[in-house]
Amino acid sequence: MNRIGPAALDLHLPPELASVDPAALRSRAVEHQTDAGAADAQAAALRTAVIRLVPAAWLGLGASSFATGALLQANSLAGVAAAGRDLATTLDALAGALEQARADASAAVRTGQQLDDEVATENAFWARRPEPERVDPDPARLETQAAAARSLQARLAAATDAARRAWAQASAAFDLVAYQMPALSAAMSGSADDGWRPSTNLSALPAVDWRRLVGLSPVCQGAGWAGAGVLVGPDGRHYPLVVPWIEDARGRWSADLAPAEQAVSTLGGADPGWHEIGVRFGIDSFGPPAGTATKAAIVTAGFLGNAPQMIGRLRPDLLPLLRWTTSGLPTLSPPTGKSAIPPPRGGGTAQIPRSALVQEDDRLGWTSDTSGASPNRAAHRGGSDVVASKATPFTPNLVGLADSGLAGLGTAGRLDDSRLVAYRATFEENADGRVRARVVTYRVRDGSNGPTVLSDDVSVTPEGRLGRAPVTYRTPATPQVATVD
Amino acid sequence: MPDPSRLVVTPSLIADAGRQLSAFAGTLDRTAGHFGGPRPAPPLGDAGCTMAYLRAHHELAGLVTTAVVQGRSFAAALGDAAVLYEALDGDPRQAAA
Repeated sequence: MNRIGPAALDLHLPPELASVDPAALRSRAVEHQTDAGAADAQAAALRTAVIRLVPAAWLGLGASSFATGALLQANSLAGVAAAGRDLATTLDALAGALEQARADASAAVRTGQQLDDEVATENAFWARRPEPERVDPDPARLETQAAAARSLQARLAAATDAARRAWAQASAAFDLVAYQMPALSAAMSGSADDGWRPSTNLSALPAVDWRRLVGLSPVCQGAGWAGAGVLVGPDGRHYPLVVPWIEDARGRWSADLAPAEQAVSTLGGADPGWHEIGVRFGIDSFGPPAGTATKAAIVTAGFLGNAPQMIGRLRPDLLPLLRWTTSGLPTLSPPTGKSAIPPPRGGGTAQIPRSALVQEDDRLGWTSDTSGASPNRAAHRGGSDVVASKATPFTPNLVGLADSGLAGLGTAGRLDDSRLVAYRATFEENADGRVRARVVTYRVRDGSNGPTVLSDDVSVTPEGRLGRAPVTYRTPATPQVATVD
Repeated sequence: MPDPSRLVVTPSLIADAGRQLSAFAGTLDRTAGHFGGPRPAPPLGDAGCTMAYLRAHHELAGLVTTAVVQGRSFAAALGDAAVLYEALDGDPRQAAA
């Protein structure tokens, strides 16, 4: 015998939703609220004591140390109170949301059971009737039952989703409390003396998993999230590496030069709710070191007179001078002492002094730097195509070749300069429970216009390759001024 | 203009402040009780959410413990200071008279 009507729904309240006790949540919320009140009262008492006692000038030193200690303690208590209130508010909100979700889910389950019973009864009745007299079931009724079944399944799914969202939001709120507490705050934003480095905590992640962690972009066009890979934070959590971007008529941007209301980090306001829970600064080495074979090839090329020159010169020694604004914009602080930035040297890439044998009248002479172009060391040749101010070495120029070899040696030695970078790793959590991290590396390069800071976003491709993409800073749009003729 | 070598505030005022803070420290002891030792989370229903709550609770417990201990020693220090100042300075009301 075939069953008529929709298949049995067999709906059940999800066990995690069934185990919730909203009354217990509210009771704990009251407890946290009471604790917050007590901490607030003591903080207020301390502040009052400071106001009463300090202006009375009871031996200056005592008064000032009392005031300092009292205010520090008052701030600690205010921190306890704020955290207690946040926990209480979150628990209250969670209790309300879960109560509603459970009521909706329970109603769907109850109605589903009634529908199952109704269909089962009709099936039994239909089965009892003798075959020749059996009339076909009413198609309209069957359709109504099927629609009701679909609707009940959707109601249960919606209630379960609402509960999941409530849990995710509550988790994010609990996390914010935790990450504001001194111990965790120090772990996330403290100095790097705990041995945590981004380069040793980056790992690849299949694109599907990265997308699952990051979620769906709320914007379809003109903005989105780039990045790949994951960073394990100092707290041991896995943060997907995300680079928000936004496009406008002027180009594509991945950061703001100045704080903006519709910031790039929020996709122009379409993705709000992000809170910074940690920032790490430091100096680290990224990528594999240059191989011995590569270095040997460059040195060999140098001894053959073809030393490759580096475009500009990276200055890892200036990295400790980097400072960041609150919005993460890098600046070079004024140098002091030995770390002073030397004035930029002219000549673009030919900045290394080149020595050579040169002809001075009828004699051969040696100059340590041919770029200086001193008149007495310039070659005097009859050819009009030779610039008089440029020293021209004789051939074969063994010293020049040796110098070229040394230049190659220098270039090979500086190959790893690009690995050494300053970094700024930020960790964020959204009010909806998503987390993300961004690692930006900074290199300082000496160029003809002085030192410049190169900022790059770091990612790890699913294949495990380290990716670097320049940060593009959006300048505030120039206000349009209407002119009146 | 008071004599700078003498206290203007009465040591009893300092002692009062110390006593008041001690009383508040007693109030905070109840708070400390809520954070002393491991305590199960209320039935939140979700494992991740429960972990997040327990972590927040644990981190807050650290701050509460520090604040309670500091508050107690701070109140005691004020009481000691009042005794010390009284011994050093005598009664400033008598001095003023």
